[in-house]
Amino acid sequence: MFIFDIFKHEARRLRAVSGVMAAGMLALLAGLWFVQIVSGKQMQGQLEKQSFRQPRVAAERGNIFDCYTNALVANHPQYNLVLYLEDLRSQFTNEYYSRVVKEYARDHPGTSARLPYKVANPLHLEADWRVVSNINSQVASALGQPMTLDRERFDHFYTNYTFLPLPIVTNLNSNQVAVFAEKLSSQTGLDLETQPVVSYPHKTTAAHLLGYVVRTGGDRKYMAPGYKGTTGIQAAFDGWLTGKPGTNLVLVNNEGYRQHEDILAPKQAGKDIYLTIILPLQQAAEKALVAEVGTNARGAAVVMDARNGDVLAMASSPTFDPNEFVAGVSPERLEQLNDRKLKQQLNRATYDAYPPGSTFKIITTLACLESDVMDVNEIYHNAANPRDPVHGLFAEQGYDIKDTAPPGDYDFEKAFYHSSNSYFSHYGLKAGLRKLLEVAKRFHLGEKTGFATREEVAGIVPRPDQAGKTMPLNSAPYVAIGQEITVTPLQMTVMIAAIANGGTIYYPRIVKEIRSSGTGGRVETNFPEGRVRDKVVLDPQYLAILRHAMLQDTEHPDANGYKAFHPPDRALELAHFQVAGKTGTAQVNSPALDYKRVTWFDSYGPYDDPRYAVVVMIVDGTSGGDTCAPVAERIYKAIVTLEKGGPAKRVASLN
Amino acid sequence: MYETNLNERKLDLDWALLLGTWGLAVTGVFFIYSATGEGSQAQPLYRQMFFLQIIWFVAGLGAAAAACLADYGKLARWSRPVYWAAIGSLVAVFVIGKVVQGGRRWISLGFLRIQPAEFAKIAFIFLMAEFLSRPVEELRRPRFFFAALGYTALPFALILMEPDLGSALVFLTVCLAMMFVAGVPNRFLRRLAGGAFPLAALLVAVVLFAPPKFAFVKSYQKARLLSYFGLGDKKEMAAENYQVNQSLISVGSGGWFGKGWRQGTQHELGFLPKKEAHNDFIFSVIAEEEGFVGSVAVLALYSVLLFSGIKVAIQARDRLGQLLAVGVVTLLFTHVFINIGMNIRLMPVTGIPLPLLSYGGSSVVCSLIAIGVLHNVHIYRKSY
Repeated sequence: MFIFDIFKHEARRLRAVSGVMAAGMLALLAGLWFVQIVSGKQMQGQLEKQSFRQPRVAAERGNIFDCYTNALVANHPQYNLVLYLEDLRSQFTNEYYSRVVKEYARDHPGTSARLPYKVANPLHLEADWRVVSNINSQVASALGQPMTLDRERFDHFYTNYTFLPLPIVTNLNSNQVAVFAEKLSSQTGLDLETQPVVSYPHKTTAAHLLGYVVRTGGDRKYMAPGYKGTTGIQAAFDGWLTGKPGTNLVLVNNEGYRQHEDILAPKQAGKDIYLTIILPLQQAAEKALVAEVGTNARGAAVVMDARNGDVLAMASSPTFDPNEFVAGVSPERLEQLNDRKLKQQLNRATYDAYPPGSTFKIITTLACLESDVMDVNEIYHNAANPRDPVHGLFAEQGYDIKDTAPPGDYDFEKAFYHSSNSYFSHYGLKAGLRKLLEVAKRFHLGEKTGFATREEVAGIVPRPDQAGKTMPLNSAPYVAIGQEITVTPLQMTVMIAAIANGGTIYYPRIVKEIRSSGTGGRVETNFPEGRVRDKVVLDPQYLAILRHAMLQDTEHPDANGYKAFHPPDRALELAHFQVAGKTGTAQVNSPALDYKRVTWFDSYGPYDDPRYAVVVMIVDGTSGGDTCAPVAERIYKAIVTLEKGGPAKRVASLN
Repeated sequence: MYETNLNERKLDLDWALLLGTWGLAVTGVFFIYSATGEGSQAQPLYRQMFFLQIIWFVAGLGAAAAACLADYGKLARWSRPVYWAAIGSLVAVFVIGKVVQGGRRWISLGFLRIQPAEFAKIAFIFLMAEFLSRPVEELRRPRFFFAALGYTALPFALILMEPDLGSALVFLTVCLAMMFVAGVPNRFLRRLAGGAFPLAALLVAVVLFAPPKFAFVKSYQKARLLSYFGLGDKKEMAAENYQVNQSLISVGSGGWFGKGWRQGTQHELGFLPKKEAHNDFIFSVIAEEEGFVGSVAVLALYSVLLFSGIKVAIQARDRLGQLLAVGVVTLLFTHVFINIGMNIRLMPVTGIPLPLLSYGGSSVVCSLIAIGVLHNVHIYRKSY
């Protein structure tokens, strides 16, 4: 209406003025269109980028329990003292104007009141640092602990993470927590924060099996500290245990201080893992392993439920404390832990293979019986070694295999419990390499067992069709006594369990189930009990012969294992718990290996109702009978004690 | 205010003008409340900005009504003393002025501070209208042309020295528009434009290349100009560009419909400087909270105001009225254009308020007086 009036008017110059104004308004309109509509999204993006931070919140790592819910790995709260910087802003400003600026003006006379950014910014930082460091020193003196915060760390934190609370003292002990509550809790901005820290309450117990974790991510921007499983169960089930870190949405102001915090994605605690391990048995096995040789014993002990393949204990020595890795280990300490001889971090039960020595005679026995080359009553004459007349010598067909048994006449059982090399080389040679390997392979020796940590080696046991190819046929007398092949203690345990249970090869089970966190958490994954890998066809008659010979190994007074199971102060525990076993001592002559002997005791018990398979392996022991059998005996005593006590009943009811 | 009808004539109000004025003033109060919200609510009511703005508005309405009491012809007779009083107050700023944010622009009267430059603008418009309303023939003489220029240059220079580049520029545009409408021959104006351009260039050059201690040029002005032209030290530019970037983010993030009243985050979080969100950058707050729709509404309200003013100029009974109206309209337009333009980076940052929307007593009262003058011209257009 009136706009038209304007343009009708003859006042040309007025029209020009209004034209310029209209153009100006249109220019503004166009500008607004461009800013709000065309680049609106981009501006919104910039707004979000500058006003929101998304720090990640570490989720609690899952716990690991034994089969009676004893915690093997748990989260224990660590108390940290933190400072909320946004609460200190008025103190910062006060310090800046009441001191810092005045000092600056005193030192630089003639400066204007309005300081340029370049000057003011470091002064602000200085003021803020003074306030924080004051509080820090108050805290330090109250807690009786040196100050941990330095200027450099503060500056770094303050420039990058203004929206996060600043940690002043980490890992307060309970006294310090009390001091905080009493003296410091009124200090503005100061607060106690708990942070879950992975811990191994039983320290070295089952260290190899559980594995260790290392801290991750704490230093990267917005990344809360977490853990990564590096070995053992911790590594194999890292995905389950880790959980999902949450994300917070922190609204910050122009100075980066936190204004408001929301949870964008809640953290999800890691899942709990329940093992088949029985904690007291595990501890007993570990104690037993070092009882004979000392803490630097290099060896392993495995206890398995022969009826279903559950691993009840798996010890490896020497051991280490995974708690050290949680805190972080120094390079020097790491070097110690990687000692080339001790190899503390090596799980010898699964992750290294050793010649089985005489314990392989169990296989040789079955091979000879099945191929009908050995009559158990037939007498074999073991000739004396001319160089060593108290011991025998296998000298057939140009072989020269020393025997540890004395020369003389041997039937099968005597040969078995004396562990006569000549006897088994003689019949092994008759059965042939192919047959020996075939029986060994039936028990899946020299193959990975499918153990859940996947820290496994296969060892070397060639397939029967490789006889005469990768392994010369004349190896038979050596293989018959467990030389020239290697196996892991776990493989031997599975084999012994099969002998004990009548021929079932189980996949060893270590993880029973995975549950969501908290008591009574939902079962997420269940690993069924007694997964059968194979059924070994065994003639019951041969099995009976073998088992009886194994019993004689601990019961016959001349047997290699007798002494261990019949000590002078023989405990009553084993009076009604007969153990069947086989000792073994393998000589090793390899410059690549730092041991000369591998000693074994492979066994199961009780003889009349086999429930447990126990395999003990120690490197550089004296002999299987002297070194490993006593370890096994201690483990069996622990088993009997457990079976009498509460937990054992629960074992029975569980199975 | 218009009930004060002492002239016993039928009151003839320009409703469009009133609508625009009230619309903008009410909008201003609402968004000043939003912009200062959280932080100031703990303070007593009389210290809260939005409430003070209401008081300024009421005071301004009173002043505007007073400006309509007498025929503008009678008012114009006082233009010279008022002009010199204004110049006096501008000089007084240098003596007793208060420095706020690097500019010596304020005179403190104890309980309130006034900004003489704002009042000088009104006085200047009156003086120019009175001076230029002489017969066109006289205006063709260079003497008058240069006299008019002199009247402009005096407050221009004084305000430039405060320093307040934005307000000083307002005098130039108002002078130019009034001379143009008054009928100053084109050749003078061409010469003026021809002279003003090099002058402006010289000004820019002085600001940019002045020695560091040169009294008339403040370092922040130099930095602002440098950053507007994309020159200068990167870090300094980032700091100087910061305000503009933040206001762009505010305006842009509003999108079509905005985030809703009091839902804007830019001023709340302090990205848009808290000291300026409610005055120089009030438009950013509105644009963020009400979006493009809100911005267009604000532009529409100003358009109503401005084109009503043009209409008043057209319908004015004489050249004095016409020139007064043109002066006021140009004054308002220049403020609107520079301020909104600076919010969306069409113009460099100069501290110049948005009439009626920005917080500020001097600005609101003077804007209302100016509009009152406009109304005066409208009311008395047929008085004889």
